[in-house]
Amino acid sequence: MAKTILTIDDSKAIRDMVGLTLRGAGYRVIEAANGAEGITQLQAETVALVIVDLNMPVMNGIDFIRNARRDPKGIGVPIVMLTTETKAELKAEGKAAGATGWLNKPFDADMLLAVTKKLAG
Amino acid sequence: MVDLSPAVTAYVQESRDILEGLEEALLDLEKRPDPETVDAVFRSLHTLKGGGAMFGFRLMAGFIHHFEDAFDRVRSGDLAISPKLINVVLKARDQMMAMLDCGGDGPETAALVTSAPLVALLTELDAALDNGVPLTPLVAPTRLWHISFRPAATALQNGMRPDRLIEELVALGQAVVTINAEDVPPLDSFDPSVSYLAWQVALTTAQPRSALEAVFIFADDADLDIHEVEGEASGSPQPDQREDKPTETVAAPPQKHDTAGDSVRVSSAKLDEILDQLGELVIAQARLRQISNSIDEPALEGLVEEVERLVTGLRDATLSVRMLPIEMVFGKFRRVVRDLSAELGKEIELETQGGDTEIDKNVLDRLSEPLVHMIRNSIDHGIELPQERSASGKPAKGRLRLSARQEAGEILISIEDDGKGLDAEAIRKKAVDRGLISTEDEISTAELHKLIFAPGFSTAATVSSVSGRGVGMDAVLTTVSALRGSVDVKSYPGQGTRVTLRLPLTLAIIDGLLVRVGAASYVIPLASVEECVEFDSIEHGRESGRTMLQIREHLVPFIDLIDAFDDLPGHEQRRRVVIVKAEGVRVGLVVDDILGQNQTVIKSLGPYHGGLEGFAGATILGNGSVALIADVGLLARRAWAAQEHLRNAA
Amino acid sequence: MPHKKGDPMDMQQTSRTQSPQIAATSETAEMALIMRLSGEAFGLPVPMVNEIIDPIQITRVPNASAFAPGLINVRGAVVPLLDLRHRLRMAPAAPGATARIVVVETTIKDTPTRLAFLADAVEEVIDVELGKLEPVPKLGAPWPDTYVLGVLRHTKGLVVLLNASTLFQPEPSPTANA
Repeated sequence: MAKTILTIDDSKAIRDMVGLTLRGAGYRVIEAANGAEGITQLQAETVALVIVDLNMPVMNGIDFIRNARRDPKGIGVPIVMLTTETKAELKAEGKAAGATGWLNKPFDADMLLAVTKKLAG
Repeated sequence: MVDLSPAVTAYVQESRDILEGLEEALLDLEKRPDPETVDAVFRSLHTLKGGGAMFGFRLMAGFIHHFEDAFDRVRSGDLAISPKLINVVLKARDQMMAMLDCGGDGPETAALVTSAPLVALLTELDAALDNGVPLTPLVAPTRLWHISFRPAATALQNGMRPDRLIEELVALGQAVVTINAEDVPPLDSFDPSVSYLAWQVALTTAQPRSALEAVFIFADDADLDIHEVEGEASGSPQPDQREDKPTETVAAPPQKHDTAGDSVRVSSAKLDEILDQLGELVIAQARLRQISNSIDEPALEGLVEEVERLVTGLRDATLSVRMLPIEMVFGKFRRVVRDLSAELGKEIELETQGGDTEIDKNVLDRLSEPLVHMIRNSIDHGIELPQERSASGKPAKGRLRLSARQEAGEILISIEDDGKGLDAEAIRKKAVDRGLISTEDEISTAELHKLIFAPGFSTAATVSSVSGRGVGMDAVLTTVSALRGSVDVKSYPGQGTRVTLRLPLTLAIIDGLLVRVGAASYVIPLASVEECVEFDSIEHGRESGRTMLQIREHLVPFIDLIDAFDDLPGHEQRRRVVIVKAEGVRVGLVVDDILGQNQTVIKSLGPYHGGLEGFAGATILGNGSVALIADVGLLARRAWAAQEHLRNAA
Repeated sequence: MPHKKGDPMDMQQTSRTQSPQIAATSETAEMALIMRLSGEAFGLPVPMVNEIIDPIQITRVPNASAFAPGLINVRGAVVPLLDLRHRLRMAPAAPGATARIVVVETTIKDTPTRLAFLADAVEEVIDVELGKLEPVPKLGAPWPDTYVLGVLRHTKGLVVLLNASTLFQPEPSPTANA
């Protein structure tokens, strides 16, 4: 069975890009537009990897990571945050909240696939 | 065909950056072929080709394909790096730049792709590929690494799979893995979500350190140690130097320069616009200050001070955006030096220093050409042929040094060679021929050296294709003067020549000292001001005919601005002297009064006054009137020349 | 009161470009701004006139040529103030109560350049038919031919139409030494 990847981003363009790339590589991709929707999805599904943006309305990425790590379904699930090179303190905050790794924006399909394979297998 | 959508514009912009990086990488490769650089070159070509196909540069993509292919073969060890190959790819890179300029598929690009030089390039590439068996197969030596890895206790909870990382590591070569389970607690206190294990791996691999580090990219909170075990390596000898790079992110773009992240590209026209607006703001703020002074209202006064501080902050921030490291032009010179030394049969080592010195973009843009010209000049006329050098006891390889540094509100850029130096006699002869000086003129060697910047002067006995193109060093002086800078030359026979350019940090806004001369106000750039003293309180050197001032232990020549600016002497009781330092010398400028400091937005003098000596521009004061900005360098030269003249006459 | 490039003059300009009949003859017809220097009426093409402002403080440029003796501030731009009297070989005169500064834009050495000059008075805008221009009378006129296109008979007398392409050049015209 295909592994399920959850992409959480308020930008539909990014979700589409992640979806297209990973579906093309044989993954199943589900989407959420903010952290709160993401938690709902995480609880409803068995997720192999979460790719989460940090800057989002309703519930931001850092809060999502904190909540996910407190949730039984979220412990041990690899979470990749989408960061930018220059915001080092945000990256550290995300790591402290329990993120597994990060992907620097802007990224392309090759980078996304490499990170997904590394963390979700 | 020029109307490009933003995405295409971004692609073109990015591609230019990649091509700059590609040139660097190719030049690096020529010096030291290592697999990482080969990879970088391949990736650059690959990215260019891929984007080209997407953004309407299909013809270019087709052209690049050949070179990408070649480097794919280099990568797989099927083809060796040869000077021939580097040469042809460098030339191809220039053509790619030209294709980008054509703005995508169209008749222009089509014409370029089918042009004779391009077809010749492909033939040349074929020849470079047909090298038969590679001379030195590019297989990196294998090395033995010891890796110890202990994940953070929270690693498992946070989604890390240490076992998978070890698998990834093992896949890089041949490995012996040892698991250390000492820290695993008894079962009753065992928490399955806590990571207790540690791994030791002995790995034999040809992969570089960066590949090993990339495995553990996300494990930045783990205990990780990767070190090479010396002497255990097998295979071909290692390159003498290995850089231990900091952790490279897998997700980092394949470019050397940091163009990604949160940075935004802004067209320089927009920056200029912001600066113009800022200039207006500075002037408006000065008017506000003027009004506030005349009203004498404390509340307004406080606000004006606040606005003043904000404007100054905004000014500094805006100017800093426009500052770029001079490295950006230094980089280009590697290629110039390489191509020229090959053409002239000379061996030259280029050394650069202070590349991180920052300078205003507008200055930088206009500097590139004069610098190239000076480099050409050094290589063509300065540095001798290898046999000539050896005969005179010098190393066969010539040295060319480019350096930059900041000093007292100025940028100093030097170009120094260890060549034969300027021939003062040859210069004198040519200057007489050209009617620049007469045979009777007694001219010091230093002054003779300066003559190489005179219009139409060329010292080469034979006009070479390299630097004898009619535009001489006078073009350098013209550009530098237009930038409010100056040129200085030092040369020693047989030892070399050093040309130093002095340039202002910025062209746009400076801090100025406002002074009154006669009925008019003038601005003296504050960066060159050392101190202000009262004119009458200092003793004038008598024997030098009142052209020198005694400033503490030093004698300083002075110039009365009433005379210099052709104004009528007033009846000032207490005049002032502004001591300035320009072009390395101190002079006094006598003024009627000192009015204060201001932020000076420099406006250039148009075609009617641009050629006038003594002024570096004009500005608008708080009261709305125009004030001229004194060209301190020129006034200093004039004061010293007058002093010199007097001394000679005595 | 600054007369901005706006109301009356602009409207005339607009109506000209909108009317096809007149536009068709635009090769031979011009509109000229009439101003006075030492009593003489001079005309300059209206499209090049940027604005007309009241006299303001002039900054003298030391050691500058007599043709371009000063600088003024026109809305935050530093603009050279030219002395047309000097170029037209007329005696210097101090500006009177009706004096105005005329700001024009022209091309100098391939660069669009703003510049200004003082006129004793600015009077009106008239239509000029270039075909009806008469040559400058050889006698009695101090100004060099090269700076003048021709003379025009108008209700208020003779108007000298100036040649904008030579008049404002930084260097005096070589043929101006006649």
